Amino acid sequence: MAVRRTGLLTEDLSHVEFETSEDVEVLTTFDNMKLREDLVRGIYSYGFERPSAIQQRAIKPMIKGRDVIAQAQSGTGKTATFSIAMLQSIDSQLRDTQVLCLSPTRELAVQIQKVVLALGDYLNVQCHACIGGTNLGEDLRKLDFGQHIVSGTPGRVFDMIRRKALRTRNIKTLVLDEADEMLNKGFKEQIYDVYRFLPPATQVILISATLPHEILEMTNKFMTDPIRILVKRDELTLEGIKQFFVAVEREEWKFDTLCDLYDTLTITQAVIFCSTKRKVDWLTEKMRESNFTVSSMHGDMPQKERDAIMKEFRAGQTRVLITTDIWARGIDVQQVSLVINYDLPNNRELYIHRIGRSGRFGRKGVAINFVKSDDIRILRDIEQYYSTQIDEMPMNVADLI
Amino acid sequence: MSKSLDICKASLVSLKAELLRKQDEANKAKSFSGDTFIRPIPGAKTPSCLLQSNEGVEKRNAKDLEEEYTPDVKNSLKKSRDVLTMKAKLYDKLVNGEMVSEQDKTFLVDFKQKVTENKTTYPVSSTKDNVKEQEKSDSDADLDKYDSGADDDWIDYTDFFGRTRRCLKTDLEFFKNRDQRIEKELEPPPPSPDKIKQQTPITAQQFVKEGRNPEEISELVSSDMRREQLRLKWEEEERKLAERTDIHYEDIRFDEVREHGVGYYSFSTDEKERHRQQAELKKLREQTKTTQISVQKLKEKRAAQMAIRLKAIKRRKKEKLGLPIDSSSDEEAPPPKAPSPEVVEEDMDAERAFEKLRKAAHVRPWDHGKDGLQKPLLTQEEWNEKQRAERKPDFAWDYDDGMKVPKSASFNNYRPVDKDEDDEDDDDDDEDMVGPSLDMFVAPSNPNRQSTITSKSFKKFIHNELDDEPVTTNNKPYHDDDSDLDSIPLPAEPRKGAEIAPPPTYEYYGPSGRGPKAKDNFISVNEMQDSISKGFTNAKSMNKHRPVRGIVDDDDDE
Repeated sequence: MAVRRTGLLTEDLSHVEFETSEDVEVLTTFDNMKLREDLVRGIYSYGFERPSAIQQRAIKPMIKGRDVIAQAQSGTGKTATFSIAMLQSIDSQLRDTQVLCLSPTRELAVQIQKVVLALGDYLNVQCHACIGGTNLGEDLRKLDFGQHIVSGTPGRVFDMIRRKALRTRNIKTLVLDEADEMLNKGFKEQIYDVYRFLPPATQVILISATLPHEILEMTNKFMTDPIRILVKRDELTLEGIKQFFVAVEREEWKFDTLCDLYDTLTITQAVIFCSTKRKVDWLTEKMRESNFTVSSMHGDMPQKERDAIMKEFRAGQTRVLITTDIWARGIDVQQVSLVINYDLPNNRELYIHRIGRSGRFGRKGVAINFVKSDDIRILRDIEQYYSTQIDEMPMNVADLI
Repeated sequence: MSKSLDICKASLVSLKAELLRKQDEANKAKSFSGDTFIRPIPGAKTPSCLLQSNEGVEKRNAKDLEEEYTPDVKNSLKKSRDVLTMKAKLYDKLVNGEMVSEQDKTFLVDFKQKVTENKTTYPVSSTKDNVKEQEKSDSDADLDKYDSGADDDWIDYTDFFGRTRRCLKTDLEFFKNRDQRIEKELEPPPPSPDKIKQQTPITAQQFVKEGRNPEEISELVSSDMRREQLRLKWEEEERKLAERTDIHYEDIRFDEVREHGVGYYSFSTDEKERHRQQAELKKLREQTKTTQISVQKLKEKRAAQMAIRLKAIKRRKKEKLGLPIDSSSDEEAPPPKAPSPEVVEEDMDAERAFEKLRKAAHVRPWDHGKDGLQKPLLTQEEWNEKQRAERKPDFAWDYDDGMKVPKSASFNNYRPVDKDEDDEDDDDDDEDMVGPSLDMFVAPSNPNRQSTITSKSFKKFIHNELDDEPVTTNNKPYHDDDSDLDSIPLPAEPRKGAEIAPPPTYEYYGPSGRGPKAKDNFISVNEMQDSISKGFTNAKSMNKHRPVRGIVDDDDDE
């Protein structure tokens, strides 16, 4: 039997081109979607007026219970898309976990909790952020109260399931935010572990701005005839985010360039990406030595510190954040209008995610890449891959922010 | 356009007449009582005496406008002004040495030093009282506070409470003195030097606790301090949240800067208050709805009345003209009602149910082996395996024994019966005989080797059993007698009962398996049976039972 099953799976999909499903309905207003009145209230009060392209297409099939693979450009309301669908299909009388949403970082899980609570403010829905690095007892207690939606990171969620604190019996939907990251090598096993505890044929929703082919290939293992809403890669970069590069001959010059740009950084808020945690520490130290106010965050910091830094940045108390790729995906801070790639990202997907920290929901944004002479090739490759334009940084870059 | 065509000339004429009549009336009314209609004549100017106002009023008014009628500017202006005054006060105190303690490292400036400096270099000039003293001479302060208008007799000044007042110049002195008196009365007595050290931290804490104007305080402290304060505040908030069962958006905002929609309502973080607010909102909404509905109804009513009246007029006119009255055109069908939301809801429910069924029909690889899987999701092989696993060993085939039985002879003997079929087909035949499940439910393309192996061994055993049947017919009657007990007439049948649970029906599975091959199989079975029945006439009564097994059905198919 095992032979037969694998026989089915090894069906070669590497040459199949995945395309957006044909029968996708487009609903151009929230009112057309026949959502609960109190949900619509929450949507409007959160600031959405018209559904974005992905929201127009994906919400309906999600509510219907279809498995959905949804791709959309960064900052176009993907989180809200599944949040709305989930809030619509939740039975608020049943105080048990009905939706499980997994994300790659704790900060993102907390953010999703926030969005869900904001959109469901009038529904009085309970959503818990179940993330590592926090008090276990508190998690157990919160889950015991009963949470309609649990947004968390795979490790802690699995732990809670094993402890039977997170009851999976009533779970109807599993959402994988940043799905390509979640199904990557590092996370896939953990996702599988969690999945094994869910009722069979649970609705699965995959969401990300980037969905590489190999991820789409493997979706048939845990999805049933999914609706696909995809974006071609040449349409993946946003018009609103202008991309530039600064060529530096030596690594040391990057620092000087950054110092020169500091005034521009603080116009609104800015995020600076480095390749490693150590480099984040180094750069932060160096900036502070030169009397620049910066804050920094990476995965080796204690969760409490990470949390406080996130809150400060969200509250606008700090304006420049130096960080790693932990911040690359999904984090939404409206005021961020400038992203600096102090080091180029390791892959093309991360580039899209990093620059997507600016230009949130139709706002303008600027991305500046610091490139050493041998890096420029990589940048040109990214430029070509996404059919976008990355010019040399103009003098008046501040005007673009 | 088409509507204008409908208007008949008569009505236009009457309209015109009506218009003229009304105009006439209006004219009459005007001429009778001219003073009741006072109309402002455009461009006319009010008498100059009305226009003339006291000097300085305009200026003052402008000031008021600046302060009060620009709310958004006002807020920030006021805030910054407050902050500045606070700062000034604080600075004064610091310079006086009132608030400086030894340990205090908050301030980068060494105020202690400054106090001494002040005392030595310039004569004391920064205490409040001194400032007051100076006001008379200090033109800056004077301009600021006592805005003398152009008029010689009257003067505008700002009193202690911040009100802009106007008095005679001669009285100014009196008012100033009064202000100072009030100020002194209201001002707390200057703390004694030994108290200072204890008091300063306390006041700072009080500021934090009150939190009435966080910006005010935050402006006074360094950004690091401010952040520290915020962190403490957030921690406190989180501690509170840990104890609560219900958490809402407002509880976890943590001062985030975010633009919300126009309709954003910041609910209270207090559960009771929140409920009250929501109830209030709901009430307002319902009120709005009822008013909307009543207005709508009123409109409809009016429209209906209008329609009736129009109809009546039309009829009358037609009657007058002697035209026939056709009622059909007047009556309009009521507008079709929009589908009720319930129907929509049901629709969605149905779709969800359908989706569930669809999902249940397909087993995802990652779902295999889960508890909740529904029964029909088992494949035939799985079912077989399961049943075999559950079977008591007493009733089970001993597959090894079956293998050991000399099959060469049996095979050889058996072969002639299925003349033109090869070995594989033989096996298939036997599977059919033994239990349809083995053969008919397995998809032809099924590459499941494992189960076929077991069935093969199984089959071989049966070969052995059937061995003599076709050749030595003596055994047959005996067999049939046995089978009679089970009412299963087929040669190999007696064992089948113990072997495998009978699947629902032949008819159900039969055609879905493989058409032609199955037919072939049955032919051979029939041949076999024919030979049996021909050989043993005494088994005829038993043969009548055979149709039950569906073999006759298959015959029919042929």
